[in-house]
Amino acid sequence: MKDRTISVLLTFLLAIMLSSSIAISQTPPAEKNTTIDVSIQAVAEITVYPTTLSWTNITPGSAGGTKFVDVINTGSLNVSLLYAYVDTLTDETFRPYGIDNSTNYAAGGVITMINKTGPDKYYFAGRVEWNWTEVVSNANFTNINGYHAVAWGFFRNTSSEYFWGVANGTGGLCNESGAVFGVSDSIDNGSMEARTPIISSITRNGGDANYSYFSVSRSTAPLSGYCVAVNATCNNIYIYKYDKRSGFSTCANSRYLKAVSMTPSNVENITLNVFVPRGIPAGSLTTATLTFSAS
Amino acid sequence: MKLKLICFFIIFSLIFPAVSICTEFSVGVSPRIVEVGNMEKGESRIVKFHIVTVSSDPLLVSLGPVKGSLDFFPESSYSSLVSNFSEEETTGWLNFFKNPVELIPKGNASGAGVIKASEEISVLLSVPDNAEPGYHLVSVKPTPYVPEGSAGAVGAMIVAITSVNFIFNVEGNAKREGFILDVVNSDYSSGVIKLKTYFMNTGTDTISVTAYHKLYDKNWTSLADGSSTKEYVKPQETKIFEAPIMADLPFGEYNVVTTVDYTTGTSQMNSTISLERPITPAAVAQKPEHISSLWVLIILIIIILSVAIYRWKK
Repeated sequence: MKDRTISVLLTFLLAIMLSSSIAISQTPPAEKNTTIDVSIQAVAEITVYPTTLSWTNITPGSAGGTKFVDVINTGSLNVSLLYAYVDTLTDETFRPYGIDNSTNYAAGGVITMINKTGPDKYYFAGRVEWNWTEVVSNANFTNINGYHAVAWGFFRNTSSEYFWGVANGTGGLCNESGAVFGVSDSIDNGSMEARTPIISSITRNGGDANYSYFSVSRSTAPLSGYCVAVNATCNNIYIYKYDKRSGFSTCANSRYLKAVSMTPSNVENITLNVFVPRGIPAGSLTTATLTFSAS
Repeated sequence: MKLKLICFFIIFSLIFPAVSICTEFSVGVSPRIVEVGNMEKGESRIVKFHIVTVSSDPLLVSLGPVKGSLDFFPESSYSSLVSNFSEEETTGWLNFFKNPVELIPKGNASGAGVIKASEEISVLLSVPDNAEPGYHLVSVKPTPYVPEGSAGAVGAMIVAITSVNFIFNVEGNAKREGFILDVVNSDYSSGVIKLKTYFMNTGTDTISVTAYHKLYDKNWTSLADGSSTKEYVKPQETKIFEAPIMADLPFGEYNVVTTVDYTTGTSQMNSTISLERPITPAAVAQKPEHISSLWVLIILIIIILSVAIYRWKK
């Protein structure tokens, strides 16, 4: 009885399989074509990763260590004219020297960057140096070719410092025609030689209501290849390279991080570091906003 | 109890995705370039574009007009337009109906997939009656507001921005041209030669101009060079470009080759300058004293004559 039941079931199953295969072999598969249109919205967009950067426990007079950012074209259109700037000028609005408060210093003033496809040198993203309010011993302004120096100070690059001087323009302000900027080639050691600013190969490229814009072309200068914007009141200088905002782009040394087109998915690698000079109080600096801009 | 906790964790992680610690301050645009077309002087037109973001958090975006730059043209398909491009100031021609603008993530993503928020922006572009003819360029830069925060001892928040460009043509005969009128040596002292270049814009468009000088001796041996600042020169305007040349040279005559570059063209002039000993300050100071003595004498003579005439009449 049991064997008979199994036989019946197997026969039934076989019949079903046979009928299915016959049906499949006899009936041709149906074909249907469907047109699919995909339209990509025209979007121009860059995205930068990571979204924040942080350095901790940095010894004054040293670098903080390299960090990497990727600027990615996440849109569907080519973009170009990529440049970057920090908000040091809005974060550091008064002379912080001699005050025991680290938040008076802007973090943007110590950030440096190097472009993988550009010159093999770290440039400050946007550093502010303020004038020295006291007379500096052994300061010698004769190399400013007879111009009367109205402000002076030090460019501080981690453990090295260089003496600079500024002469005002024809109307008495430092954003006017005739303004002069010079910087010493020698690391400051208190000597007259090291405290003699030199104006050779430093060209005033233009000015506006706020600044005179200088390009430093002298290869021996510590600011070689940089742009220096001297404030109209002569009390500070803004040092940059990759800032192409209106006004700052007047400097002949200002450059784009990437001038040519970035195609969609293209990645531009930027390496950053922080160069912290000596004499900054312990504690946290005012957090910077580092902006990457393309068009 | 243990089973209940496991179930709760599974349900929680399925419903709520990983919380983003940092807001992405990234704003893009769509499209990248808006071809507004031909416009007449005095005409106003509404121009629209979108700002977009990948940020999952709401952003407050400030829209700022930026003057168009010649840097736009080399890498774009509009490079042929630069010969008819006016560099006059255009940022004041834009008026935003709403500024700043909120970008709030919505439930439905746009066609690009990763875009979380999109907002249409309307801008009124008004061409003034005295606009120059030719192509014009003005950009709008959407900058997100970044609240003050802390990112460690030395930290930075990263912002990524892409600007939109408006390109349009004001009808008329656009022409970029100019030429050097003269080059003179205005001063030589302390090893600095100050040259003045007189340049006239004979075209119909504002152009940005820089003057370059190369200094040679009488045998055309190169000695030094220098350049002026870059300045904007309006149509029919004559501008003086001052350039210092650092060169400690003996007095005498020198050849100067001056080239004025306005990107779409140049103007060149060869001239000869004479470096002379400057007039000493002492000689200049004596002259006013002599003049004032003479005037005193003249006044005395007039007084004496007046008294004499009065007495004679009396």
